[in-house]
Amino acid sequence: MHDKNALLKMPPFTPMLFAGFMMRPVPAFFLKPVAKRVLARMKKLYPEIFSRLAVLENTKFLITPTDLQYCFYLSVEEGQTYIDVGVNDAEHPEFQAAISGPMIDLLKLLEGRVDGDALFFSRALNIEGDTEAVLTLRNAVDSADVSLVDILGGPVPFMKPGFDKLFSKIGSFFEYLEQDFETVHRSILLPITRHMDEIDKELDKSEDRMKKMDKELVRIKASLRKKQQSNHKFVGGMQ
Amino acid sequence: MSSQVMNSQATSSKAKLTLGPVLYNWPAEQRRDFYFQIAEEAPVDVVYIGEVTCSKRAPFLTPFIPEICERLERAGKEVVISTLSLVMSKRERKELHEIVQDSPWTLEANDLSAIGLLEGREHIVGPFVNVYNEDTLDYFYRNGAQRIVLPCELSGKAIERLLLSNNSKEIEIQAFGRVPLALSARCYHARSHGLSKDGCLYVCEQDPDGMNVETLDGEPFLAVNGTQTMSYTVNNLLDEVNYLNKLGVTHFRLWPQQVDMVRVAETYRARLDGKVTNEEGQDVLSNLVDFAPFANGFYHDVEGNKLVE
Amino acid sequence: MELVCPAGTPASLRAALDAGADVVYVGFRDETNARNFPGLNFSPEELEESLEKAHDMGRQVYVAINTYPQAGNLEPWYRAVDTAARIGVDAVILADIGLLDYAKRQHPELRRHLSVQASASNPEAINFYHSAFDVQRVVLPRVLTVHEIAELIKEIDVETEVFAFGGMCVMAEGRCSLSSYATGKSPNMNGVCSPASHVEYEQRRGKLVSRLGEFTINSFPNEEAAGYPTLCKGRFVGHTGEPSYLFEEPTSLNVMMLLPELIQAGVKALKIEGRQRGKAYVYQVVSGYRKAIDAAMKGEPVPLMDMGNITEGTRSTAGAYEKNWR
Repeated sequence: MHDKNALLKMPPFTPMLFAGFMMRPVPAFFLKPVAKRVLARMKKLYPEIFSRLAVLENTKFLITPTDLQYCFYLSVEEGQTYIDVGVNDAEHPEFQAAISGPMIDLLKLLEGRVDGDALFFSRALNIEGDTEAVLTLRNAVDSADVSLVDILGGPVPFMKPGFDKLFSKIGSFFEYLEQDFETVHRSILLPITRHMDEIDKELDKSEDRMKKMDKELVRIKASLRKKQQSNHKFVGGMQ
Repeated sequence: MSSQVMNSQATSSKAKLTLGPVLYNWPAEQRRDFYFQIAEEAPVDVVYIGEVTCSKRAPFLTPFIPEICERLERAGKEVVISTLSLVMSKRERKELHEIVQDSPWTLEANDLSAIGLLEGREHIVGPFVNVYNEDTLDYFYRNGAQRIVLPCELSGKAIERLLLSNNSKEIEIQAFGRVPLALSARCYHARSHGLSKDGCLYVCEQDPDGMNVETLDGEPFLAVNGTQTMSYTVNNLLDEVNYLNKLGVTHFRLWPQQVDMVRVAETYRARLDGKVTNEEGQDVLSNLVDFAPFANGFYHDVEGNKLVE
Repeated sequence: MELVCPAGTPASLRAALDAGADVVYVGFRDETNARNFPGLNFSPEELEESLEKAHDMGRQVYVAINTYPQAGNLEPWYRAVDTAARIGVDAVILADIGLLDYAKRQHPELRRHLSVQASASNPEAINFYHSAFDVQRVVLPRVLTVHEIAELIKEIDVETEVFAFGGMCVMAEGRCSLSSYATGKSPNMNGVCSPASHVEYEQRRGKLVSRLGEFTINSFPNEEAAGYPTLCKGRFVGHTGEPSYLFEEPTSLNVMMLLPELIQAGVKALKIEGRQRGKAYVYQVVSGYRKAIDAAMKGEPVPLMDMGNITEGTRSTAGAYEKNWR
């Protein structure tokens, strides 16, 4: 069962996965200052997000882009929000809620370009743990018109026009690549998924059989009890 | 101040037991016999009768109603006619107008349509009308309500706060039986048999205590009664009735189930009169009700399906 | 035909206005409205700013105060009505008899609409609310067919608003305690149904299992579209012994096909559900319905838009508006 879950958690085959491979030599601690810088910019640009998050008091989120080796620890402590960066396969510090999905989707979600429920319905997004906290985070982030260009272009304003263009190019480049990769992805994984599906079906079947046997047992017990009761009643009636 | 306390104690000793309308599709003859037995044997003060759940069932019971009511009145019971809880079609509306015009008996209004038609006339506000606070309670009393039956999900605390401003008017709570949780235009009994509501073949008759609904894990969860969804658990406030009575609840409703309702009524009466302990009463009830466990969660302000001891 | 659109945040409100909403409806950030979700809704200050923006564009804002005030604690609901009146919103949407009475006495000039949570499903009930509380509009419960709505409109003196798109109650709204039976929290008392605080998702052997309180509500194989663990849209086992969607499938309401008929019936306003959804949803649905209404009003064929990606279970239905739903 554990193996199976591990397989399920295999990263989605996306351009980010390759970007991630290229970034592998970069240790997480180099990303920390970047993440912290982004959070600070967001606090300045979108204070409404953080006022809505404050209701959480003390909550730690694990946010995992499934196609990168890095993950983010977002925590709200006594009304203040903090961020840290970790590595996917390392042991994570304690968290109350986890969100995972392809990086592109997470970024789209941040910018409010996609509806979180829609992503969840279509199974692109996974959530675990404290559902209410996840919802609070989603609602808080959606309450502002977040723009990655504004966040990233901010610190060195004179670079902004060029960066702006570069960023939008990167964005569309990834979106094109995303489609091509989807095709390759399917062709590589199809034989494996098929096999897994078969195992799943077998397991389901035996689970159903067990359930049926359980029920049969309950029925037998109940009818036995009823028989005993009606014997009682009959004796009672005679008296 | 002290005379007020005396007053409320005086009313408290007169706690009344009521029998709610049969919510399920019991065959008309069976219902008639049931009410005859109630008239003769059950220590209930008020009997509600009428089709509340589905207007399609009404024609079967209607011809028996005068005879049943007469028998109940002869036995000294107060008779109340309960109206439909979800009124939509022309036919349902026409029947409502007729009953409001012609009924010689007091009516229990289970929808705002009936409340509107009964404005200024003495009536009872049924459990399918939303009464959650003192303002609404006051409004309905001013509108002509002599008694108000509270919704099932109100907690004991909320009931207590409502009673603070109640001025000794009549209040009824649901004390025993599966509680009606939801109403719908769709018939789930028909749906579960692959039928539509129009062509339902009255399949709801197969489950006189409701059709059990289980989760995927095989855990019992709800019960379906046609267009109505009921609790799986059987609400039982035997342990709470005396306290509620002291607070000022005047009437306690028992919902008919396929168990010995005479014994159920006797047990509640004995508990209200202090003739049995809670434990003795619970023993009797547990032996009577074997189809589902008891619950009192709504009263205790937790999940309705829970039993708080 | 007025297009009434949801907003859970000021950003969503802006999205709705940009997409062509005639009216945006919102709620305060507390238990006085039926979407009392964490991180959602408006502070009085946010409402004030949003209202100004809407009015500048010639649009309107309604405020839903549509839960049932709690016995012995009426103050938050009174305050919500007072605040809405002070800010000058275009209407309040109320459900509770006591609160309607309060609003009428304290703010007779404040326009009152009857919330769907009041479940007024027939002319007698609607006329009662009209004569007793001078209600100007009724939001119809999602239990009536288009034909029944047309008949009903002939017999009432108030405007009607009907749900066009979004999450769909299969039970009569405001008359359902399923949520409090499973979780202790209900739409009427707490403004939540199947609240997130009681929801748990678990990945179990290739399936996403959703639980509400102590009850398993559904189990989705990995390739299947998921839905909210709203308990009336779960998979259960009835008399057949086989799991099925006993009450309703995870699906969203979508009446785009029926627009011409609803216009013909004399419906005054179309309502989009989803104050809890993101602004991307709001923008997409409102734009779609704007185009559809504009076309239908001109008598042109309604351009049918694919809303598959944002619907629950990626499916939609005309629900109770068509008789065979029952």
